[in-house]
Amino acid sequence: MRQRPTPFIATWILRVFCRGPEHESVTGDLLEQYQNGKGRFWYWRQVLGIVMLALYRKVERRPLIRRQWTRITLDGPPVALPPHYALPKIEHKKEGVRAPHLHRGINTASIAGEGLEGLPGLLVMIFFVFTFASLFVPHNGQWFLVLFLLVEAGAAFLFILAGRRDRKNSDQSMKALHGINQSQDR
Amino acid sequence: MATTPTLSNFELMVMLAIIRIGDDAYGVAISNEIEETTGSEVLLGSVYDALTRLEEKGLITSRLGEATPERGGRAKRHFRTTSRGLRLVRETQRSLVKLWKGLPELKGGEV
Repeated sequence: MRQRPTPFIATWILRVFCRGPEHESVTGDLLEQYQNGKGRFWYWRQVLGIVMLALYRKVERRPLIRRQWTRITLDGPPVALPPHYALPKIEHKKEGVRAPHLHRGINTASIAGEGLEGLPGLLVMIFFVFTFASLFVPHNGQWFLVLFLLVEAGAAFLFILAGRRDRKNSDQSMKALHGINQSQDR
Repeated sequence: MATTPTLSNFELMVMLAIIRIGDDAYGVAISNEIEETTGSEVLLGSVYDALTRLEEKGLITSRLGEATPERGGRAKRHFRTTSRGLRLVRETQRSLVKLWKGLPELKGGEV
């Protein structure tokens, strides 16, 4: 039996955001339903629902803004910084400083390669909320299309920028953690 | 002290759908069962979200099944309720029946 081609962009979005083994069954179910005659609109809505929920769960497990800030005492007064960005800044200020609880500030999820945490996660949420809302909010004409493309392009650009910064921070965190471990070993 | 897990409305629906379907309970079958019973469309994502939560609470178990070409070579995940899950559904039913009893506003099927 010949298979119907799935909507390209929706499938691409699904591949990008839900490629882990935990999403394999839901992706398979989605394809099965689509091959059994469900429409393209149905497919799009399901994909957006799956991606939104997956992102929501990621953010829920690792909140964008933590209530508990890391308190780091250096030679001077205590410094309170958001954990995500604490380590690279401290590293620039005081190289090789001994701070036993500094490792709590490291974005371990980014180091583990999970990605889409912090600011990138927020931007992706904005991207999808806008896309999802556009399916239901009544609109007309080309102005909406222009606005839609501008917002999507802007969000995508910011996402790439934030992703690059996130990766840079993670690399710095890894180096700093390595340095702390070495100094503690000594 | 171990806390007893609670079931949300949708989680209860998913549990009941799994019990109704039996051994063949997987994502599509569960969402179809809920859609047929309630008459409203269900997002596959929300079904899987509820299934994940239920599995984390130890109320259901899952096993990987066969992969077919129409699923893009992806395996099905079959679900079944645990004895703990069945017990919790029974307790929830009992609590709801107790709450239902003696409500004059709900008698006769008119709101």
